[in-house]
Amino acid sequence: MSDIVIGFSGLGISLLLIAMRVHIGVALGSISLLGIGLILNSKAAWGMITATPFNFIGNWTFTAVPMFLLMGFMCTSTGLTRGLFHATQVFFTRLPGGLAIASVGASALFASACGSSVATASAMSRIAVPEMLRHKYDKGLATATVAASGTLGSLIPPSIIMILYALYADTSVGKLFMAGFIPGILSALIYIAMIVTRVKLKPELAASIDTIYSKEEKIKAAKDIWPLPVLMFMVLGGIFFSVFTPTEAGAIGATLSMIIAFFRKSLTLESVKKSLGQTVRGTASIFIIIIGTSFLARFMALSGVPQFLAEGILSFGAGPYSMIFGVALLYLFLGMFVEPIGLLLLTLPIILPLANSLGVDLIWFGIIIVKLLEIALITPPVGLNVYVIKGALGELVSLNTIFKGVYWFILMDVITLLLLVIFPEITLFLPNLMWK
Amino acid sequence: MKFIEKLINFSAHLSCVVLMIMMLHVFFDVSFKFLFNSPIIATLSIVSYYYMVFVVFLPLGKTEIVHEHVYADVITRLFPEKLQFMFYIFASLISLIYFLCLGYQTFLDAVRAYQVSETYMANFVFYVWPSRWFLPIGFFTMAIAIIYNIKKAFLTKKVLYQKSDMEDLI
Repeated sequence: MSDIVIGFSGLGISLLLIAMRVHIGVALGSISLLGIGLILNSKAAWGMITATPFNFIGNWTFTAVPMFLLMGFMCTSTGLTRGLFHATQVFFTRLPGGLAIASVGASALFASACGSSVATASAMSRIAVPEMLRHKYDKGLATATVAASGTLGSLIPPSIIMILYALYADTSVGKLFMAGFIPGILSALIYIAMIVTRVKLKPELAASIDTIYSKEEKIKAAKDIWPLPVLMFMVLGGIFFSVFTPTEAGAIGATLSMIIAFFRKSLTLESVKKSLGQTVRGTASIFIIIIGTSFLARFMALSGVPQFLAEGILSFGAGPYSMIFGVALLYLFLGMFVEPIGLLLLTLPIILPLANSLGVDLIWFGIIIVKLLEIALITPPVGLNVYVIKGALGELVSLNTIFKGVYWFILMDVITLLLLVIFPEITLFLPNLMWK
Repeated sequence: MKFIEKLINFSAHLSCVVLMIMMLHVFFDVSFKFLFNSPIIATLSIVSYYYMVFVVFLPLGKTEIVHEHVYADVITRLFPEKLQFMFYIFASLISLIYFLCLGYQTFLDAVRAYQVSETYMANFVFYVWPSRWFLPIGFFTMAIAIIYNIKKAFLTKKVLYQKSDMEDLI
């Protein structure tokens, strides 16, 4: 058997194992070790175990993962994110589709704190969707708004997915965070523009609400949520001006969220324990995939699969655009059953060498990859975010209805994606402006 | 069973404590850097070589017990329960072998590192051999947790899934 055949069979068997519910990290790791053993010898495979896990620990970039996870869990479990939807509602209610716009805004804020798309969708579905349905919003619009806005989670920094991408692409986490900022806001604005236009053209989608909030109520709402945006701007500002590293930013963010919660009297031993537990478990589960991916990266390099694919693509005269299209198709398919972090880590060992051989900007490419991962979260037949919302709402709304609403958002995402691909400046403007 | 639960919970709690210390250590390092222009010495090495091994490897077992390792069950859920159960046992056995292998090799490495008192080159001598031990400890805890879950699955004759704890996020 040639090395290439071993490489491709290994990939196939790994995917099969993942489909059979084997932990993603285990499926990648075990098959890759076997593959390395076949291509070289068993000593090399054992040697990989000696070299890989421990060296990853020594990698400073990875230390940012537990710190940002902790910041996110602290913010949510001490209630800093509570009231977000209510506050945005107070400000946006009177616009056409105001509650939907409020959901997009609240999701964007929530997403920047928690950094996970699925968690954002899950949290918002329990509060924003019932409120919209109560005001007789179209079911498809209400649910799809939350499903799609949830996807802002990984694009708006800080984001765990970006740290992991940076780890593998060997790019700066800080630059990647900054690069995601404008595309994240742009995605949200395009969603909002679509909602306003649709509701203007078809007012029955979202009944207008006449409640007028007084100035006092607005001030109270702003007072309720101000710590979160301020915290995020401090964390991101510090990274932007290179005042501190991402890991330091995460640690500062987590500590400050505890201090803020203390003064708001919402810091309990229970909430601290809970967020610590969630963080270590989250870190451990990500780390197992990372180890698997590192084995896979070595296995792929040895087998020559990425070079083979790169030569194939280049010989067709295809450039970065067709590669992005290929990645999009791949994510649409694999995104049906693998969640974003797993999907990213599963595919990077093949995609990154390709991107490198085409000479594309890895920061820009990273943001495109994140956006593609996000779109895969809401595309039928199995968009993970859609299922999360369906799970939260039960029989209240059918899957079909949600997907019907989601198509509009996918269309908007495609527009955003095209803009990002055609105008790399949108992505690269902030990172190029950064200090240092 | 009780003893295993205690052991796994203890290692998870220990990692929580270290995570908290890590957060404060980095926070004070940055604060001292700005306030007094004197950062805490060797923060970088201590964080990556000591704290991180606690945070990453000790919770492995607990994560398995509560089914929070990342897996995809969209496809297996389409099958009848009996088959789902078989998939689950099959997947668990593969994990078990994998983690026993990782544990075995990293154990040998830890012994070797201990014998030569492995250090990491910094501005000063920094011993890394103690952290090497956390790899086999973590991987073997994971293996124990997998066996625990398999036994539980056989006792209840059911596939166990992760419980969602997203309810009170907002």
